[in-house]
Amino acid sequence: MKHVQGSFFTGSVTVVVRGKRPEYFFQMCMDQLGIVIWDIKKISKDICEGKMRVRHVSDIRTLRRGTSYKLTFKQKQGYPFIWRRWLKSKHIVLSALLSFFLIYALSNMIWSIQISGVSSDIEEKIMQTLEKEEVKKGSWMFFVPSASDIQFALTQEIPELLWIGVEKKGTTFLLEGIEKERIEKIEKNPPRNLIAKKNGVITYMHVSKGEPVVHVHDAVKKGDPLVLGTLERADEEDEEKTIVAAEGEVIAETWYKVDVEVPLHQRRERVTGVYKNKWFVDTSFLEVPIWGWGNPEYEHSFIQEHEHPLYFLQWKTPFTIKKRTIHNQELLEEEITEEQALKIGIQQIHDDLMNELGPNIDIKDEKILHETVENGKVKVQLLITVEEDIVKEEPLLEGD
Amino acid sequence: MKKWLQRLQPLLVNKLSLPADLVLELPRITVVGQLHVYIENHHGLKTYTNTELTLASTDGIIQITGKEFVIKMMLPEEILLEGTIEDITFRTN
Repeated sequence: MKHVQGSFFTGSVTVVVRGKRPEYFFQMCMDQLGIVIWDIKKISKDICEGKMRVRHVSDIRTLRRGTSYKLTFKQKQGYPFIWRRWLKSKHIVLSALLSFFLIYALSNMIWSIQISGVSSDIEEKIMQTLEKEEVKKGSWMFFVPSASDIQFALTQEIPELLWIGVEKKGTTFLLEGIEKERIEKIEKNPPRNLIAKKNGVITYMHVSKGEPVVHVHDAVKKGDPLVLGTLERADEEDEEKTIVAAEGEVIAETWYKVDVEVPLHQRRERVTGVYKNKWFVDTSFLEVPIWGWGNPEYEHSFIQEHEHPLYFLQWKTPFTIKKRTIHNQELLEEEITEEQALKIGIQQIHDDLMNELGPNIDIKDEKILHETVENGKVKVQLLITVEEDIVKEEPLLEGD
Repeated sequence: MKKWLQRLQPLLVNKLSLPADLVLELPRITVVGQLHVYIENHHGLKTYTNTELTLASTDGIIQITGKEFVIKMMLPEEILLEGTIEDITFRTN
């Protein structure tokens, strides 16, 4: 059947031959011109049809002259005919394609930014910050940073904002903000005592409300009362008890025993600041690079990826624009001495304590209780003296 | 000369075991079940209808009968017939 192969590309026609013994006409074609004919069917006694290649049509017409046969052509098949049909309707097809791409492009642009929940001057500030971040009407969605990045940038830039929600809804950015309101808190605390949060020795006291029951240099245990909310006024006529919300600051020295381990062999990674951006169009199975070829020859690298899905109207298409940033990284390795390790360990403990107890503590002193070097690590046990507020509120129950 | 050649041909086939269809210019027919008949070395189409195909050969005609015949391909001296083949007959004149 190799003679028929490729007839789709060259195009084929069905020839209907009418006349006496029509099959002889095909025989003639073969013998005199060497034309290949296939799928020959006898429709009736005087009609026979067969398929042939388009380029032989004119040859067959000249052959027909001088014979009594009549030829008709029907059912044009194959690629040339499809092509010709397409050429006829190409304006429509092209304009359809063009409009499709236009809609596709426009679906990936920002059309409006809506800000709600904030006053107009803050709205103005938000707009300015957004413009700095390349978020404005008409910019491409895939060049815009992610919603969480915008959120972060806005809260950093505008201190008046308490919170801002950024939502990307199709071609619209919806921003909803909450302003910090500076309303003086009207404190109306329920009656309470102040008790000790932990063991310690009091170094400083300042009581604004309530009756203190401890003094400076007193050692207190966890749960001991410090300031009472019940006031007994002896100078009044009848012994009347007033109940208030005790308020005050009691700073005490407290101690912590902490263990820390610091390896003598330090390994750190540092980004050098040299990087390369690569852009891809990504489908679920294939990644087509569009910008940024070649991989940089970094010894150590750190890869960041940002994905921007492409939309058609409101629908997500399977294509995403992917930005890959390859950062050059250095690996720093060094041996440190025991002393340095100790320093690092103490700094680490300070940071940990700050995290745990809050920033208003004062680290007075640290004593090394125990120090060993084991398996390339320095193990230290420290006793740390800290000054901190040990006040804890305990509500007074009614009827007490 | 021609007679001498005709006497020589069977000798070539038998003694030198050359293929008979080439030397004697005989038609070669390949049949695949009832579906296809492939005829090579024929000498032209005689009749063709839905149910019958007659071909000329060196010494006579080949008649193939059956149902729903379609000539799938036609080349000089080669024909591929498709349909339901019922009978193949040789007639020598």
